[in-house]
Amino acid sequence: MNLSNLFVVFKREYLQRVRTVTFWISTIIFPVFMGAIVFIPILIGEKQKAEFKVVIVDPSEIVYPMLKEELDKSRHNIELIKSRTEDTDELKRDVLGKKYNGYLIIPRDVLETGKVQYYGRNVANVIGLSRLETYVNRTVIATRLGERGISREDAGQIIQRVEFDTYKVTEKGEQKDKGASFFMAFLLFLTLYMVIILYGSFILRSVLEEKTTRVVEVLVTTIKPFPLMMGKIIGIAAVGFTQYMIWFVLGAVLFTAVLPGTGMAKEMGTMPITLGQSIYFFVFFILGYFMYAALYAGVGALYNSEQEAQQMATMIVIPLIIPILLMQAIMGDPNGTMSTVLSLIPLFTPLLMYLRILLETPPAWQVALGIGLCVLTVIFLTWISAKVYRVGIFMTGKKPTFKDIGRWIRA
Amino acid sequence: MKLSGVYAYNGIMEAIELNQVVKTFDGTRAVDGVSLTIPRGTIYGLLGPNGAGKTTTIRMITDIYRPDEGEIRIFGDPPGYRVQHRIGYLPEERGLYRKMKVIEQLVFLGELKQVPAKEARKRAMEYLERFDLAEWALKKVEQLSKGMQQKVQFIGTVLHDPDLIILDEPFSGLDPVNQALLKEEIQGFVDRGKTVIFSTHVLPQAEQLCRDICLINHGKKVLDGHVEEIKARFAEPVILLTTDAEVEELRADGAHVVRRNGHVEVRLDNSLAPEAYLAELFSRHIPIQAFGPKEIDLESIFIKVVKDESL
Repeated sequence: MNLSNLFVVFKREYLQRVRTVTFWISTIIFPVFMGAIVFIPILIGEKQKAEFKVVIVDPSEIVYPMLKEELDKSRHNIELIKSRTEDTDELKRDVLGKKYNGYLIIPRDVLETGKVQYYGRNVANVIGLSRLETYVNRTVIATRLGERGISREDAGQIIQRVEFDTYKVTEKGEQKDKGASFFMAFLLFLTLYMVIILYGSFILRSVLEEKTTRVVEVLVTTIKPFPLMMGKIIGIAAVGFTQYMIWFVLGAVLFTAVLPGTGMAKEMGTMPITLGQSIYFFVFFILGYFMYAALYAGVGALYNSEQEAQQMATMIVIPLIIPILLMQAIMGDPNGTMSTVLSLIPLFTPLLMYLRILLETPPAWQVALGIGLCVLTVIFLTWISAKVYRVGIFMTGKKPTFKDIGRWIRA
Repeated sequence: MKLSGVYAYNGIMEAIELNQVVKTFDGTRAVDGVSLTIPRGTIYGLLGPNGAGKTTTIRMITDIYRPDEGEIRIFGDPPGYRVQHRIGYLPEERGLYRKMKVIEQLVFLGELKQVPAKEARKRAMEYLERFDLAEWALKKVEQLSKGMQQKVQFIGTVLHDPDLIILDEPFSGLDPVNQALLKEEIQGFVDRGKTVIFSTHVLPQAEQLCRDICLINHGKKVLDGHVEEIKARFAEPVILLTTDAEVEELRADGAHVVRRNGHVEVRLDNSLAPEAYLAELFSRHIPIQAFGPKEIDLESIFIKVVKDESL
């Protein structure tokens, strides 16, 4: 194999993409977009904190004093104002006049019925309302307990919720888990999935471009198809790698500069992702990328237009989706026979073997076998794609049948 | 210039040899038992109408297709990556990366052919200069006109200084000035010992450029050889006259006279030699501006051969 030609193709694919304005726009817009998804709700939350003003109508004063006290002590900015009137028309006017967000009616028999009514301009303010609800609840329950002779301090303790901490048992000892390991697995699933879909279609288009512009005729008389395909796949992978590195650095800067002090930083700190798991992530990410990239290259080689290729490209996603459907089953029994067999099917290996590693370390030979099979599959698929590319190039005009494809591969 | 025409001689005089080559597509014989020999250091015309099998023949030489039967040798080797770097190929269906800058594109093509990037850039700039494209070097290919793109592709074809240059319809879409420019370049390569295969359906172009030709039709070779020899073979005993005299005044025993626009054609029987006829005209005191044998062009030969064949 001629490595210098592979490098020439790699260089072209990489530089031509990285130097475009589109690349930089998408590289910058994506984190901004993701940032917006994460931060806008937080910002909205902060805003709601400040603005949640509620008038309470509590003629019998069963709830108001304690609720007021509790709310003032809390870090949530829910402002409780005692109403001067019981006239609902006036209250409604005030709410509509934006003096308050809403009014809360505490009936005299609240301790028996356990029912209160909230009227507000916006009853879909889930965060604010659920907080208010929690405090009203606690107050009512504490009052009921008080009537039965239990002090407020005791009541507070009695109604304390049970927190369910989960721990993952590993060879290195116990580790506080809190379900974050599942969360991380799924996050990594999504990343891999997104990258394969996005960069796979880049490869598809790159192969098609050569066919539609007829550059291909010059290329095949100059370079063997295997290094051409490999050069493309690696070149586009490098583009993705560059993009991810930029995001990683941006993210690191953001987390160290902006986030400390917010609650989110604390949660991020507790995520139990070990170095080993990160390395496996990288390995399976690369393997997954190359396998699907080779498939996309093959589809690009088969067809002559993007419309034709798009149908087939949709099919490539199927072996990507199957492991996601199988996740639940694997998680139930990560080292069972079914999990083992499924995770050794090369197209499933990156996602399923990684999941198994996160859940319960599988035997080393299985991991090694999975990786080995993936490497072979990458080479095999690239070889087939190259073959199809080489032979299928000049079959313009008609769509190839499966019989044709078989013939090309044997040619 | 380096003696690349000599260094790779390995005792073989022919640049290319085709021996009974057959290529079939879906039961149709696109190339049907073609044998030909392309000598080194010449411009060889591969001629024939559209669909005759020229491009298929070229694609077998460039190893895009494998022949179903027969054998091909390029500088003594079979087609393939071993000889590929000695070939420069300009396909009929041009292809350049549309979004790439002209100079980058050329450097890329050069590098694929093992020319170091720096050297490729230098040569590309020299060629762009010569083809009056220097100011377009940093423009994207898609911004260039068709003719300019074609010149860029030609530069890409020859940037690695190949020993064999295959040009499929290189003049299509070029204006006369650029055609002349390209002809000059092609001639320059031959002067340096390179071999050029020039495929076209425009026979007059080939007639001007080529020393040897091969005419193919329906996948079969119709005739091949030196252009001059072929012409001599098909030459007719016809004389072209330029004169103001009437047709009647020009008649003689064994001379059949026809006036065409601007000149007179005289077909002589074997009994009457051209010199004798000329002497006869002089003796009649007929003023003659020009007198000479009628040249037969390749197009007429081709039409004649194809007609004879179908009879």
